[in-house]
Amino acid sequence: MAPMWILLAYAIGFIVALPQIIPTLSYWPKSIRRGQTSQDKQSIGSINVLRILKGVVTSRIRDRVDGVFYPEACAYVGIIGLMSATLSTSWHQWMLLTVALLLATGRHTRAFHWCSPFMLRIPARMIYFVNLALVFMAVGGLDWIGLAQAPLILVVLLQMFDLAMNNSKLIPMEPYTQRWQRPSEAFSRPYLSLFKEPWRVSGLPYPMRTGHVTHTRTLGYTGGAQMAAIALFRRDSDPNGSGLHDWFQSDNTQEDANWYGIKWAITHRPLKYPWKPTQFSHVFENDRVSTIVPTWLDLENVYGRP
Amino acid sequence: MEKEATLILSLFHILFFRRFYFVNPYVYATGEPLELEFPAGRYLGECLRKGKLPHDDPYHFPYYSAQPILSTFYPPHMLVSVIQSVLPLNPAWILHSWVSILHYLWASIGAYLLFSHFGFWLALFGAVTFTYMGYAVKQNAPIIYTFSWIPWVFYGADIHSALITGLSLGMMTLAGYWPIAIYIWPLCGFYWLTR
Repeated sequence: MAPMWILLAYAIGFIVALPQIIPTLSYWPKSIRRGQTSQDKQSIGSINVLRILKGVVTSRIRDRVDGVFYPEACAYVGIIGLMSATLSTSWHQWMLLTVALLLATGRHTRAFHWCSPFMLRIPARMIYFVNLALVFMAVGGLDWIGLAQAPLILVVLLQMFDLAMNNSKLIPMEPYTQRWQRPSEAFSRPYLSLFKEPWRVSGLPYPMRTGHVTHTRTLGYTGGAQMAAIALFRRDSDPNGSGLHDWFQSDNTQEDANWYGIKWAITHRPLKYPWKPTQFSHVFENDRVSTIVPTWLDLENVYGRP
Repeated sequence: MEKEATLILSLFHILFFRRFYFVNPYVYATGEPLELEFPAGRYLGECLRKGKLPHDDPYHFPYYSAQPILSTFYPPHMLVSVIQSVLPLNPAWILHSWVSILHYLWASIGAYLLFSHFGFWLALFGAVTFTYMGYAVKQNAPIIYTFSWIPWVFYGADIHSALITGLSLGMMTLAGYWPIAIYIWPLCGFYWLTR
């Protein structure tokens, strides 16, 4: 029987986390996450064993593997860390490493599929636990060697140098991320003065796509945990969400745009009536937009509630 | 020895994030942090200053507070969001970015305590390896927040402190990166059983 302290720890943790657990579990059935199959969860981020091992040996690979970027496949603990990890004598650390490794392979083995009812999407995220096991193994292995103080200090300094020189370069996620910008410049565009609530804007450029800083209504969140009603309305069947911010990239009609309250579009496409040019190049205004803009709740009422 | 360890870990933290501290405080103003986390945090701060939670976000997120990744209920993030919402954009960004990376220091202190029974130098080795291992180096604030509590969860389990483990599990879950956080709960029990 588990001692009281661990049950108490779980109880405290649960109570502290309740403010987030309640709204998230209430929202879950309304999101595209409801009823996702094993195949949906593994649709991206299955990393083969060889690539995982490469990420253990070096942090210098800059690639995109099965829809995820290299930071999701990096488990580098330093050369010394890796060497000492191999000396670990702890069976449960080896077990954690093996289980996490198998789960991270996703479609390449059956482990993730068998555990899929308990798994969230993107198997590559299990590489965190590969990394965690390696850390415990590295410390255990180094302890097992039993170095004297002077060489141990040298080992620590070399480890610090290794991690500071290699892992610090994992962020920003170059070359797959935008170049850095000062927010004062990034959130400043002349055409922003045109946009008025409550209408929506299509094609907001990076980094203004959430509309929070500029107080601009967007087409809505279309990421991995988007509302099922939005996915249905936008005809988005991607289990990870399409992430589209441009109305004209999805398979929607002009009537949908009018109803949804999309009054402005930023696009390089030559739009025709009812879209008319504004004083800003590549910014168009919808002449037939609805005067009443539906809320998220309206969208849910029309496109289905669980 | 904890003071010396904290000092060394602080110096290493500065070395690791040298580009932020000495070269360019906007170096991480790219990708999702600038596009999603910073604006959403600013909106959270605006709502909190009005005395409400952002359940209904007209701009982008239906059911804003239901998205764990927005760290709506994570106390340090709430506090920073309120402060950054009254600041001009550039200092607000620097604060947001600094508080995110400061969580690495918090994680390293927890990891040092976790491994402290191995002795000072081995604990330092464990602390830097745990905190700055490849998968843990991320630019997204909710991920960093979440990872920073994980060593504390295990440290609490080591010393049988229900308060430290419970609080850390709770904070880690509020921090919002659930793809990792939800597995730490059972792993904590496994760790305690097998250590």
